[in-house]
Amino acid sequence: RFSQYKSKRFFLDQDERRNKILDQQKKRRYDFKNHIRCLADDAWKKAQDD
Amino acid sequence: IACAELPHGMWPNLIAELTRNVTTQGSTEMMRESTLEAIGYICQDIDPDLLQTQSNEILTAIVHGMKKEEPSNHVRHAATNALLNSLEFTKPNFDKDTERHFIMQVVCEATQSVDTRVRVSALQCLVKIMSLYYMYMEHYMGPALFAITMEGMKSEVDEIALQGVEFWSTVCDEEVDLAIELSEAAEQGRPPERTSRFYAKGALQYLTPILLVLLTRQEGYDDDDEWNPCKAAGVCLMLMATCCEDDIVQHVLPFVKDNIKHQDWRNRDAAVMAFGSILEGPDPTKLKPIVEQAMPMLIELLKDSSVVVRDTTAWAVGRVCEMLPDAVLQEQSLSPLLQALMEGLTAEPRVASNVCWACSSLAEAAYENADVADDSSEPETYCLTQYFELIVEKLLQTTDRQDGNQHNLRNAAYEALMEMVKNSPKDCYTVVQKTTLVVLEKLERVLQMENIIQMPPDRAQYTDLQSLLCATLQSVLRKVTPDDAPKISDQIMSALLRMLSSSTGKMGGVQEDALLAVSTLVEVLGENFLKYMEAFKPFLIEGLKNVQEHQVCLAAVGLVGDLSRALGQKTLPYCDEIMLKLLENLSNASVHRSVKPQILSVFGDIALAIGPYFKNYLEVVVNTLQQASQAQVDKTDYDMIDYLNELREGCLEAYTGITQGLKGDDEQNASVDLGLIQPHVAHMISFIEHIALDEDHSDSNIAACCGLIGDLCTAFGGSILQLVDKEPIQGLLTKGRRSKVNKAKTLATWATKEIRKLKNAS
Repeated sequence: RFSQYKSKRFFLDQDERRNKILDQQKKRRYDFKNHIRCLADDAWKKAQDD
Repeated sequence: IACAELPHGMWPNLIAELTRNVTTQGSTEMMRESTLEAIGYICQDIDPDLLQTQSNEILTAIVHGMKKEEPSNHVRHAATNALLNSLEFTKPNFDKDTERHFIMQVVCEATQSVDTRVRVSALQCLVKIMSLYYMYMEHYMGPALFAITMEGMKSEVDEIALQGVEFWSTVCDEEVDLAIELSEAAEQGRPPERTSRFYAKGALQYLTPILLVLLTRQEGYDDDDEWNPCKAAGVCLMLMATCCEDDIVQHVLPFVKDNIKHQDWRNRDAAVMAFGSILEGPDPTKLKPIVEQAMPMLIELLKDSSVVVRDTTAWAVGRVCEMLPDAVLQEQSLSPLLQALMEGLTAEPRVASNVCWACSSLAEAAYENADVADDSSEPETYCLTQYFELIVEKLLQTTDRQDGNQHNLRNAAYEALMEMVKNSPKDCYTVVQKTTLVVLEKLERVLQMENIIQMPPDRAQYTDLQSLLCATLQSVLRKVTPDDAPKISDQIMSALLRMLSSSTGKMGGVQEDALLAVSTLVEVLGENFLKYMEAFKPFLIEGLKNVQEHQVCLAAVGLVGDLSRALGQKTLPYCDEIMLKLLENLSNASVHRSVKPQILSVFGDIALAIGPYFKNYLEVVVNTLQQASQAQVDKTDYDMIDYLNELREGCLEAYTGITQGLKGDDEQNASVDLGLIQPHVAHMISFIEHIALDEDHSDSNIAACCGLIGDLCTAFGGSILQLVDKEPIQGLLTKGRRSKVNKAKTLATWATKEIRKLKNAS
């Protein structure tokens, strides 16, 4: 309960910074692989149109 | 001794002897009290499962000592405490009506004792019973619990009032959980397992007035570390608002209006606290006009004569900015608010810290509300533009405050600065550029202090500061344009290298933040990072070797992935050394388990970067992946199930990277190197089948499986068809296509199309 009193959201403590960066790394890995799969937005749309 | 011996089946007659000591007629007061205390300690520390078979005996002894006929308050207190500690394993007794009625009667009677210690313990029992056995409380709520806890809240004795309030906070916690359970069940089209009895809503009109009175019960000096009924009432009111939503507003607003200008600071503080507490829960559209009306008063109260009121007001303003930013983002209210906030940054640390939080929330909300052109991810301008430079300047000044270590102020100021930069539109870019230089200067200055600071408390502040500056660097770097990045990268990299080579840079937190900052620089510079590789490599290897501080190791592993994507084949000269360290870490039992799945994923990144050159490592990596893909865990442990899924995702990503990398870019003529992986394709497919059949697989697993299926199709063509044309694989693809998770849906749809293409061609 003590931590709930006048509690406020912390934006970027080290844990959160770390998790954000790991998520971004995952996203970059995903995007990079999808780029190779021609699944990047434009290429995928084009493939769907075809 | 019991806690050491009972788990090993030793001292089997202990509980029987203890319970006999309590229930035997003629047992002395001292004997009964000491025995019940011993039972209490055992129940508190031991694994509840171990006492399950003896719970009846224990409960009988405890209840015997708690009864109102018990003449000694010492015995009654020890017994009530023992009950408190045994509630977890008395579920079978609570499941039976008659036994539950009896326990509840004894506990309720104990709440009426003249002895404060007995009353407090009995109320603590009611709090715990409410949280453990909510579903059985209907029978007792109206006739007993409601009156007992209301009376408790009104008590002059703080310990009793605290338990009364805690009871209702617990009711709110339970009912909020039940509301979530209900909506989840509705989403899945099934009835919920348990339903709310809405006790909080029912009690609202009686509870709120008592809580509001408690809010005014404050000492002249507010001790940060003290927990008292006033603070408990603030938290309870906040929970009531979350639980009862719109209904609470009518019960709180009249009090706010009557007290916000009261001559006694306690009443003003209570009014602001009450107002701030109900900002989350009720419908925001209903709250918005109320908040708009209240803002001028809150702005005035930021300068109240009482520091307690100033602090509570800054907190309430912070909550407005976070929960209802639309109420303050119009020009009319924004200008006076910002003026007050900027003044607030020079107030006491506790006040200024709340102001920083308000600035963070405002920046985030203003950026979200800004108009974005269709073709751009960043808005041209937003409503904070004209104030941006001033806010950043004031926040930078706040980071330099001598008292910044109090109330987390320095951290809060840096966080606000980072949020301002992160959420800045294009027309604030020149200020971002200037801020980058200021942050770099600060970093240089801090690095020069390395040898001066010796005392441990200063040292801790000093390392925190380095971490914060690294984090701030990351946020400014993300905003810097690709043209500007190379202009400042030399200075940034030289500062980071100095930091990594200093003794502070060997400390986990700083080393991790410095590596994460390098990660961002790699992302921003791309191939241009190559010129720093020779200088940086020793620190990368050092990070990979830091297995004691696994977060550092994890950051270094992730950085290898970033470097691979940024440098491509130019990673090659560094690969032998890096691969060696990664493989060593994988086989090292003392490396934290969270690092290992990441290493597997990074194998995929390296394979993609260096393409055919990965064949040097292929045999050892494929063997490792085969071993890792056969890992098994204790399926009763949720953490281990998550871990297994991460490990499998790592394997799948590695297989994908290797397949894509060896395949090469030429769409028409697949590389001959692809043949090297062909003997392992059957294992990859059977691994995917194994995951498909495991009902605990994650959405990410489905996505990664579908991705690999598609990659194998594009790499090996028609020869793969017979391997993927079976039920577990087709079932997995169907599940992926129907998934609500975008990644899984996209990759499953793509893989299905790749299979169809092959079928049409054959």
